[in-house]
Amino acid sequence: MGIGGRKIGFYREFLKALAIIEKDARIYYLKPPSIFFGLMLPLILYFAFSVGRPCVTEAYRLTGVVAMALFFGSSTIEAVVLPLERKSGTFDRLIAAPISLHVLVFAKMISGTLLGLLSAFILTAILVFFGPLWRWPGLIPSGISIDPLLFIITLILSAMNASSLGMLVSAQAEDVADAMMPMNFIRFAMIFFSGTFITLEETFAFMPSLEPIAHIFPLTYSVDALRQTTYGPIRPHMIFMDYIVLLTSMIIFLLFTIRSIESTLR
Amino acid sequence: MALKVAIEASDVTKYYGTIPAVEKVSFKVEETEFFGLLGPNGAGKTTLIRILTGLTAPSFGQALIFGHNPLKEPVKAKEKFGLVPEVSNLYSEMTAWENLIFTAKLYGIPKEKRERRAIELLELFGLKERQKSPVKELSKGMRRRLTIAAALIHNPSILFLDEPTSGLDVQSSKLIRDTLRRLNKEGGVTVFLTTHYIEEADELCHRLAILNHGRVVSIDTPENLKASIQGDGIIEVSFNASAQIHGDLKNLCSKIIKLEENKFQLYVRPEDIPSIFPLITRFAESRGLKVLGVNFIKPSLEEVFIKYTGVDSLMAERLEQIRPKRERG
Repeated sequence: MGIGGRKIGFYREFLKALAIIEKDARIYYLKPPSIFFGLMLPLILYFAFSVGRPCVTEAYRLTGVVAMALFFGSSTIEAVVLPLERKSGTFDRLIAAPISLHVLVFAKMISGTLLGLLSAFILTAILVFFGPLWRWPGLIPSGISIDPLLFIITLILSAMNASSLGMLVSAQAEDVADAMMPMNFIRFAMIFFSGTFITLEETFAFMPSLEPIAHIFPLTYSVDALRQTTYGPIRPHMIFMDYIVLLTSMIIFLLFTIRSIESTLR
Repeated sequence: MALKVAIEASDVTKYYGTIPAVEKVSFKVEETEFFGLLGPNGAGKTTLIRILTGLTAPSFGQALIFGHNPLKEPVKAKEKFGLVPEVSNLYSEMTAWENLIFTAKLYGIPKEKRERRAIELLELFGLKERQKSPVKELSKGMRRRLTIAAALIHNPSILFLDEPTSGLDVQSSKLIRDTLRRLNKEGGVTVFLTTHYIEEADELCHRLAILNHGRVVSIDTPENLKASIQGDGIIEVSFNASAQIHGDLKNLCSKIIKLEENKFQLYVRPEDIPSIFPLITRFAESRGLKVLGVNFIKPSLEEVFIKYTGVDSLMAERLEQIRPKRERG
């Protein structure tokens, strides 16, 4: 196939992926488990962490909310979609279509990413709007200095990473509960140990030897990158490392997801 | 011009744990052929269709669709066929129209063409009036028809159907059968159908494979299959009261099927047919019974099915109806 043929082939695959993303968004974004686990749960967790706790500083409050909403929103959708599609047999419709498993998994990952970004936007908007009621610093928190480009890259990479993790955990699930139980276990562990609302030093103050745990969780790198791009100072080597970890772990999650789905065909 | 091989199974074997679901199945289906796979529950029909369409990998052997392995060259193989699974797998939240359009997008069909094709198919399957209805509001028959329409959206060369009329009303079943026949005859679509409805297979298929315990036990045209058991004459006899067949009458029969307490099917070698009638009379007299009727039955595909599988097809249908859907395979 020539370069032109490859371009057409790529474009056709892209359109197929787009159809899957659109379908997932239309059917599943408003399903009760998506709303509860993608939007309500991070909101509840935010209150659990921050209300009446002076230790949660302004900077940690904003980045914590964004990180958590991204993480929950992105990792939720495929934990809902894959089991439901398996149960109804519609996943077979996708597998029987002339679309490569790589494109299918990519499309599903993007639909999770978009829900994460949407969830982060909605949640932040809710908190900013109603913030003064519980001492949220106001529409624009003091000390904020967003680097727009890096902030957007961080949002997208973090959401893609979380979405890939969500897919991996639910790749073989036959029921939403089968996916959500391990998913929530992983998510709660990550939220608690990734320094989402307080620094890692404070998180592990009771047992500093456990701090390395934080460094195996991709969320730790999302939170760090978010904090740097919203409040600074940006340390290029640190943010570069955050991105490398997020990208690498995302690729690993996706490859294992493909392998896991392939194994269900055996 | 020689017809191409549309579907080829070579030594296809599938194990679930240590249990073989399909064992060393080999056959070829030519382009434009209407091929049926007949078998009782649990014979491996669904497993075989899943292997042929690349939804399940075989443990050994391979399946080819126009020479392409659906696992190694999925896009090339899958472009060639449409699949109608045993349970309709449409998106229940989407309308009939949206389901067709979404499926068309998965096959990369351009907007104008997919919309034209969707209208054609909705008309063909009598669903035009319900195109804006969500699938969850459609009847079972309508969902089935829509599933077939979705499988045809890209004008496939092969159509795989797994029990397409199972559990449907007479009208929907007839519409589906007539449409399949037309698609095959006029459209040249190769049809691969699994069914446990023997009349359906007899009526539609050019060739049939009978699958039992995961193995193909016979493969031929329905006429040849019926001729293959012509050797045994079948005599249906009914008495005025319940009876057990014993003695000379029993010895003369190669097989006896008790249909009711007082009704039997006796399988008799052709050379023994003249002697069976006096024996029946003598048997009845000796037991104080009256013979209500004696019929000589022309072998049907049902007899072929019973001979090769040992399963009464009526019982197979009943079992199919009471078995939970997820267990079927």
